Amino acid sequence: MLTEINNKQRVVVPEKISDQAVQDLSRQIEFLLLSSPTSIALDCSALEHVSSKHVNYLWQARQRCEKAGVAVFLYNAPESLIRVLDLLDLTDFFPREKPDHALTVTDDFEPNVNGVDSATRQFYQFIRAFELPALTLTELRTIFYEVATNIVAHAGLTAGQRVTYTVRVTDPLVEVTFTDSGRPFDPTSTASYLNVREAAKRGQKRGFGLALIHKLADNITYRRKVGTVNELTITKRWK
Amino acid sequence: MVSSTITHHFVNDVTVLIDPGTTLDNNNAHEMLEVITTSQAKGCKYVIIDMARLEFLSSAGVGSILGTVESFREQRGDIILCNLPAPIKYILQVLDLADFLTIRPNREDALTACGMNK
Repeated sequence: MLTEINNKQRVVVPEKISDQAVQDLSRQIEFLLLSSPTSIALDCSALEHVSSKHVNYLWQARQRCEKAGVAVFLYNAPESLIRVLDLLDLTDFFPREKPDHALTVTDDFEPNVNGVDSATRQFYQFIRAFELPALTLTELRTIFYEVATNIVAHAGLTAGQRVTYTVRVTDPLVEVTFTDSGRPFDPTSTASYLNVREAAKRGQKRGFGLALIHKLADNITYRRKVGTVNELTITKRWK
Repeated sequence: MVSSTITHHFVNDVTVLIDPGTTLDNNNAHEMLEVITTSQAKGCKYVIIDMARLEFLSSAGVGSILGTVESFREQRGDIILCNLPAPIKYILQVLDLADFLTIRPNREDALTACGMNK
C-alpha cells in the first residue's frame, strides 16, 4: 500500500489490535524501513478506545524504528491516547504532528468493491480529523465514493492494478486527485443533467453517480497524461 | 464501508416497512430493489423506508428508490421515506428529489400517508 502524509511514510494504527494486526503492522514497518525513510508517521486517526495493546504496539514500533535510526511521530493522536501516554510518562518518546489545514495524503486501492469501500473509509477518517462542516464531510465522502466506484466500474482495470488518490486539505479547499491507468474517460465532457421525473418514468435505476458528483463538487478537471494515465481532480470549497 | 442488511416486515396486506440500516450503497442497493419489487409482486401498494439509522446513501441507493417509485404511483400507491437524517435529506435535495419523492418526518406520518392511522 502506498501511503504518505506530507511526503512522510505513514502506518495506520487500527482500532482493533489483534495478533494478526500486530503482525501486519510490523511487516508494514519493516517494508517502509527498507526505503530508509527519515521518519515514519503512526496514524492514530482510527483510535477511539485506547488499550494497553495500542501502547505496546506503539512502543514496539518506536523501538524498531529507533534501532534503524528513523524518527517516529504520532499523527492525529486522540486525547485518550495522549492522556494514557502522559500517565505512563511516555509523552516525550512520541512527538506528535497535529493535523493542520495544509496536509497531503497519498494512498491507493484495489480496483474492486472492497477496495472502494476500504479507501472511502480511510478517506473519511482522514478528512474527519479536520474541522470541516458536517455537510461538507457528507459531500466529500459521497464524491469520493462515487468517483472511485465509477473508475472501478468503467476503467477496465485488472486485479493487479491500483487506483491512486491524493487528498490535499488547505484553507479553504479540499482537493482529491485520482489517477489510474485504465481506459480514458472524461467525466467533464459527459452531460450531468438529471431530469428526475423522466428518470422515474423510465424506471432508471443506475447512472446517477455522475450527476451527483457534478452537483456536489465545485470543480472537476480531467486530463489524459502522457502515456496511459487518467488524472481526475475534484475540488470542494469547505469555507 | 460495511453495508447493512436490509430488513423489512409487512405492516398490513398492502404496506411494507423497510429498514435499510446504516448504509445504502452499491453493496446492498440490489437487495433493496429486490425487497421492493418482491413486495410489489405480493400486492403491496405502499413501501415505507425508515431511514432513521441511515448514514450513507450512494447513487445506487437513490436508483433503487427512484427506479421503482413510478410503478407504485401508477397503481395509486407510493414509496414513502421517513426519519431522514440531515445528510441524507441533503443528498436528495441536491438531486432535486426532495420535492419529487414523498417524505414524512416520522413513521407515524408515513403510515398516515398510506391511509393508516386515521
